[in-house]
Parts: sequence; structure tokens; C-alpha cells
Amino acid sequence: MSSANADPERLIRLLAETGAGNQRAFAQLYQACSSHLYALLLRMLKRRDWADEALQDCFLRVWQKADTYAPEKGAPLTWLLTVARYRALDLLRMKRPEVEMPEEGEEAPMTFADLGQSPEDGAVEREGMGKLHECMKDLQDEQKRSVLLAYYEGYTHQELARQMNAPLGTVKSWVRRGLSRLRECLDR
Amino acid sequence: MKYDNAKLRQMLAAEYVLGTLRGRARRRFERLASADAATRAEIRFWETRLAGLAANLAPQTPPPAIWQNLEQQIGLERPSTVTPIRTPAPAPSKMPTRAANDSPPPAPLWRIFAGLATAAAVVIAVLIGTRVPLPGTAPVPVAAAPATPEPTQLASTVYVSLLKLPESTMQWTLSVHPEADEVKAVASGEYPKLGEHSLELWLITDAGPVSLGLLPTTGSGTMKMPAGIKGDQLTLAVSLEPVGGSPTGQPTGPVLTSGPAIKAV
Repeated sequence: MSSANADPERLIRLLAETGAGNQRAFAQLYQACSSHLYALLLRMLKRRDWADEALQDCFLRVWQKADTYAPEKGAPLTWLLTVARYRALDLLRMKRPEVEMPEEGEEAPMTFADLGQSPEDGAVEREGMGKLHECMKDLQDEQKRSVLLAYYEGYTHQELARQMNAPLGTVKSWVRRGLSRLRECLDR
Repeated sequence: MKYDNAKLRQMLAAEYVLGTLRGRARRRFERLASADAATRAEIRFWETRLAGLAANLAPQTPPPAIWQNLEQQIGLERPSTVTPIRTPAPAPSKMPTRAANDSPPPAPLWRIFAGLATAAAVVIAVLIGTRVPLPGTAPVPVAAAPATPEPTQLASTVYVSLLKLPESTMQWTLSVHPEADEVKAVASGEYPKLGEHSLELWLITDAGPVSLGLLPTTGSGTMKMPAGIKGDQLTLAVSLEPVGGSPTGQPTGPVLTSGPAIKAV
């Protein structure tokens, strides 16, 4: 996919037209973004049939909710990826119930993307992304690994502990310190 | 947990977006964020920054069947939101307090039933249409099928149902696959949140209501189907329950909607 296809201005226009019920714009939006969302869903869900289901859900949601998206709310691809990732987390909770925490089992949560909040603007977003990779390098190995595993695999603290063969408390602290360090670096 | 500590709030926002904040803590944090702009800003900060990790992945082209399904779905979605069933539905507190398996439903539910046969027919057409190309419809290339199709659905019995929440656009398309022991629910429309509750789906049997699980109010979900269910038609009901579902194993709150699931295949 060319970066021109995912050009934020074009995507903002396509989202606006999709929100007005324009199916052709929706098709173009799908064409421009679906492969990015699908890559994330495949990575997180591992199973192709789950990723298929999640991608379809996401775009159905985008079709229904595109009119709540406003350009000043931020970068469209980030908004779409956020919708997809929360959807994948929900699916993992539902489909891997054996790994849930005791307090799990509630209805699928509303995500903040649903509430119409999104990041600032494309320029800030791109800068933030570049900086993220820089800041990731600053993390200690275990911190970095736990954050990345949680992000890409959707692991809970318990799953991280199992995967990393470390006590739960230690893993929680790796995640927290990793995020805290990231926050400090991203703020600089 | 106290949230007035800015540092703690930052961490919770980070763990919320990362996904390691789970269960009730996640729900509590969502409530906090819905009332607090600073928390929402913190969430947006992390959503923006962490999306860089997703953008890192090499794009993967999805199978064409997904778009074909979407085309069919959005063709159905728009008309249903343009012509909602307008009924003078009672407030939730006035709704029946038992699953409506024997007593006739009040007028709003009756009107839902009236529309159900047509809706179910459309659902059936979609279910069949997505798997078996019919003459005159866009063919679904065999090669485009997902790598791991759901083989049970071709040969097995499937019941379908469309349950609508009165006085809202909220509805669920349900497909019951007894042989696969599962019930799939796809939510659409706007859920008029009725306080802090869960919605629980029930199968009404001769022995009384049997819980199938919690219904999602967004996206889709899969629930477990009890074994040994047969017949040409099943009856499903949705009740309002405490968060996490009925504590007794029987419906404890009002029944919000109910209707038949019709044998489709």
C-alpha cells in the first residue's frame, strides 16, 4: 500500500463522506486502510478466522460511526487502528476465557474511540510515532518485551507472567516501569 | 482505588490503552474517563503514541470475502435504521419481570414479532448468500474463502433470530449452531445505556430459562449453547442483569426483548 493511499487528508475526506452514507467513499476507505488493520488483527488474534471476523466488525462499526469522526479529532488511521485494537482485545477476552482474571466476564466495554475522542492531528501523530521508536530503545529489555507482548499479543498480566516465566508482581512492575519510562521520554 | 493522583491516572491510562488494565478496574476507569477530560486526554496521548507500533507492521491484504460480506451488511443496515419500529414502549421498570415464555408479550414486543419473520428471512438470505452463491448474485470466489472456514455451518442446523431493543436502534442478529454448541451474536445500532448493567441472553426451554451468556452491545460475541436443543423454533429472551450477569442463574431483571429463533438450515 502506498503512503499516498493512507494520506491523512484523503482519509479524513473519505471518513466524512462515509459518515454521510457514501458507499463508494467507504469502499475507498476500506481499500486504503483494511490491510493495516488486518495486519494488526492477524498479529494479535493469530487465527485468520478471528481476524476476519474482527476486521468485518471494525469496518461495520466505522460505517455506523464515521459521522462521529471529526477531522479536528485527529489522524484517521490512528483512530481506525485504535478501534481495531480494542476490538481485538475484546475478542481475546471472549475467546480465551480460560486466561481471564476473576473479575472478567462483563459485557464488552465501550471503547474510548466510541466516545469520539481521538488524537490531535496527523503531524503530531507522525512525530509521536517516530519518537516512540526512539523511546522504546531506552527501555530495559524486560520492560520493552513486556510492553510489546502486551501490545501485540493482547496478553494480560497473568499471561505475561506465564510467557516470560516470571512472578506476576515482577511482570506488573516491568509493564508499569516500562510505560512510565516511555511517558517520561515521550514528554521530553 | 483513588484516582486523584495524576501520576496514577497516567499509569492507568497507559495500561488501559495497552490492554493490561482489565475487568472491573477497566470499567471503573472508563467511568472515570467519561467524566474527566484530563483522563481522556491522557488516553488519547497513549492511543496516538502506541498506534505507532501497529503502523510498524507490514500491511496484510484481507480476503475479498470480508468486503463482500460488508457490502451485504451495509446494504441491510441503512434501511433498518431509516425505518425503526416506533412503539410506545414502557420504561424498563415497567417491563415484565419474568422471561415471557408463556404470557403474551405487551404490544411493543408483539410489533417486534410482526416484523421478525421478514427480518429473519433477510438474515437467512444473508447467511445462505454468504456461503452458497445463488444465481444472479455476485459470486463468492472459492479461493477467497477464509483459510479456516467454519465447516459446521454448512452441514449443521442453524437457527437465526433478530432481537430489537424497543425504543432504540439497538438490535442483535443471533445465529444458534446447536451442533457446534455455540450462539453467535452481532450487535448493531445504538445501545441506550441503562445504568451499570449487563444484558443476558436466555434460551427459553420447557424447564425454564437457560442462560446463554452476556450479550455484547457492540461488535459481536460467541456464547456457548447448551447441548441437546432441538425443534423447529427456539425462543430467546434478553434480560437486564447486574454487571457480570444474573447472580442466581435465573433472570432477575426485566425482560427487554424476546423472540423466536427460526430454523434456517
